[in-house]
Parts: sequence; C-alpha cells; structure tokens
Amino acid sequence: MNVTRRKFIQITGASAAGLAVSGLGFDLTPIKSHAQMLKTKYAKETTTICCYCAVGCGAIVHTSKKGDGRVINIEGDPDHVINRGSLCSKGASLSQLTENDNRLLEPMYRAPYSKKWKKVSWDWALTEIAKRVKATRDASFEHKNAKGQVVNRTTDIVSIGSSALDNEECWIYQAMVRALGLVYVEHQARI
Amino acid sequence: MSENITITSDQITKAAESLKELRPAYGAILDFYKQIFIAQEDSKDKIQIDPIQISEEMLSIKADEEFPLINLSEFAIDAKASKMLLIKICGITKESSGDMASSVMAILKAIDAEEFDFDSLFFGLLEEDDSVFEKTVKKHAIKKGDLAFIVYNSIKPSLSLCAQQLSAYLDKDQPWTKGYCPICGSHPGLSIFEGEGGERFLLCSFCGYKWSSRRLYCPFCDNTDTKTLNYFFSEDEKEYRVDLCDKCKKYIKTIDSRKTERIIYPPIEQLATLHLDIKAKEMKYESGIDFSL
Repeated sequence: MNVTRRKFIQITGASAAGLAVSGLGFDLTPIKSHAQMLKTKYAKETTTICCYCAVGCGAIVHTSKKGDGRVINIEGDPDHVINRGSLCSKGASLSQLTENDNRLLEPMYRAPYSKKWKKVSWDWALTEIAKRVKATRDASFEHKNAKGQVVNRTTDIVSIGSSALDNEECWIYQAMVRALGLVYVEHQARI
Repeated sequence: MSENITITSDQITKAAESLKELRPAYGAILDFYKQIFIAQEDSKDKIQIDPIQISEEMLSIKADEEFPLINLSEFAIDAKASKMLLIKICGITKESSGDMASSVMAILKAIDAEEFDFDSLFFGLLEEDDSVFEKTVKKHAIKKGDLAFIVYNSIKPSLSLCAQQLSAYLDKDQPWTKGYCPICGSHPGLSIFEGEGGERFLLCSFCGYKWSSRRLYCPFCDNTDTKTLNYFFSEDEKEYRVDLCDKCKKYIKTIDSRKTERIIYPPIEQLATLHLDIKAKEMKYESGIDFSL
C-alpha cells in the first residue's frame, strides 16, 4: 500500500524530532506512569511595564490560570526594546508588590520619641495625617514672599512620591499637594 | 545560531546520566539514544559537504517573501559519511532495540549483498519520495518506520552542518519572526529560554537549526493574544513548561535553561520529556510535529 505524501512526512517526522520511541519497541508504561504522577499547574503570561522608575522596562507577569489567579512570578521581557529581559534589583522583586508575606496590611504608628510601632485603624491614621498636614500647612503658609509677591505656598512640607505610583495616580496626587501650596514636590522616578 | 554547538561524547553521556538519575523511567530509551547521538556527533568530524550557493537575487526574493532558504530536497549531504553512520546505527540498534532487530538484520543483509541503495534512500527521504522506500521495504522485508528512523538519523549530522553553513546567508539585522525554520521551513520541535534575560529560541524539528524567536506567541498559528496563550508546568520539574495555544490547540515544550545547572543537549531533552507530550495530548492539544506515542 502506498502511503500519501502527507503520511510519509508523518513517518519521518517522528524520527526527525527524535520521538520515534513507541515504534522502536520501547515500553512506555513507566513514562505514562510518570506522567500520571506529575502534578501540573497552569499559568498565563501578560506583559506589563515596571512601575519603579522612568526607564520603563518591560516585564512578563506569570499568573496562575486555575484557582486564585495570583502572581507566580514576574520576570524581564526579553522582547522589550528597553531592557531585553534584564531587570534591576528593584524590578526583579516586582512580584513582591503583590505576593509578600512581610507586606504591611494595616497602618502602623510610631509616636514621637517612642521606640515602638503600634497598629492603628485606617480611620485614625487618615484623620491624624489630615489633621497634622493641615496644622503644619496653616502654620507655615505664606501668602506673600519677602518682596511682597503673591506665592501662596508652604515650604515646611515636602512630598516625595512613591515609585509604585503610576502616571495617572501621580497626576491626581501632585494636583492635591500643589493645591495645599507645596512647592517641594518630588517623585522617586526622577531620582 | 544553530544547535550544532561543539558537544563531546562525555557531555552527551553526562546529560543522559543526569536525566536518568532524575527520571529512571527513561533509562532504556536514554541508554539507546545516547549511543545514537554520540555516533552522530562523532560523525560530524568526517563530514565534507560542498557549500550551497544562493544568489543575491534569490536571497532577496526569499527574504521579501519570508521563504526559508532551501527546500528539504536541496540539503547537501555527505553520502559517504552517512553510509558509515548508517552501518554504525544498525549495529547500535541491533544490540539495543529488540523490536527493530529483524529490520536491522534485513538492512545489513541487503548491504552485504550490495542491494541496499543508500543514495536513493538518503535523497528519497529529502525529496519525500515514498516509492524508493516502498521498493526497499517490500524487497527486503523491512518495517518502513524502522527504515525511516535509520535513514534519517544517518543523514542528520549532514543536515545540521548544512544548516549551519547556510545560516551565513541569513540577515543578522532582520530577525526571523516566522514560526518555521528559516533554513528549511520545518516546524520547531522544541523551544528554549536562554541567557539571563530568558530570550526564546526555537529548534527546527528537521535540521536542528536554532533561531531567535518572539517570547509570547504561538509559532504554529502566529497567535499573539495572551488571553489564549497558556502554559503548564510542574513544581517538580521547574526547567520545563509546555506552551499551549487555545487558538490552534497546538503545544510546544520549552526548556528554561536558567533553571537548571545540567548540560542541555536538546535531542536528549526532547526525549526525556515524553511524559509532557503525554500530558499535553491528554489535554487534547496536538504537537506541532506529527508523531504518536
């Protein structure tokens, strides 16, 4: 019986790929058992941009496909034109932004001159921050400078933005602090 | 870049032994194939092939159309070295593979009687000419699969070296973005992540040529939608993963060389991961290359 051209490619294909195993008479039972015993996990990859600085390195986020959908790993994207798969030490720890047992989940407060941190509620922390910012801002607010020019500013508060903030978050944040009169507004991404 | 890196017999033995230790289920298969791979690597020293010439005009057309450099039938092979290797492979197979013994004995008998047409079979395989195989199979009572296995493995070192020679024609400034081999147009059989950045390379299932590839895409259907590209892996074998495409339902095995210290010899890795092929097929995905288990 003549085989078709397609069939012929199939016959040589197994040899070509080094996979002509069953045809050679090897017992595949132990390999099939090994396959059955093997516990597998499913994942997917999504590209993203590292949030840590203005370089904008590309990264690949591996997330669990079945189950909780949590991040398994984040690595540099080898196809990204900026970093070609490399990441700095901060970028290499990107997955810890979401997957980190040591990450603080509640606000902590250390009172002036105290050596200890204590857990506080979000309500208390946010109210306290607002109260102290307003008190400092009101006490230091200058309508005019020494030359009599209108400045409406405070130089007693400095803002250093978090590197984990994205562009849109930074815009809202800087709009708020400028409305308060801050002039020393910095962001980690520019350092 | 080609798979054809310098690798010694000792390194092949070490690669096989370390995998046997990790996965004893592969003992017999690795013991057999290790000898074939060593014989193939040894034979490369003796191979002499005339360089294939491709005109500038033809190169330009092929690059524009994204055609591979040659068709399978255009591969140059060293028939003399391939003949010697074929006889050696018959010797290895006779000793190690019981099921192939009758075919091998028939091949050796035909060689002794000077009735084995080496050249026709070598070139018949490249030309995908089934008639020459049919004729030999019928005349000498050889199983066709056995004959294809022995003939292909005998010319494989020539194919690798020819691919390496031809790779000089590839435009280094124009990365090959297709999912088929830039040399011969065959599908990839394996994917490898290499270097600190995890650059992805695909390995041709026919000539063994290794080319740089995009990371997130299916080489079989060009799918780049990450919503339909997944992979599975095992915590017990972290250096492997199987990339799955939900669009064309094909899979390709991937070795992440960053996650193992052992020597990576792709032909051995391809074999020692058959359990992953079994898993993928259970999930109703098909290999990009045709074979059955």
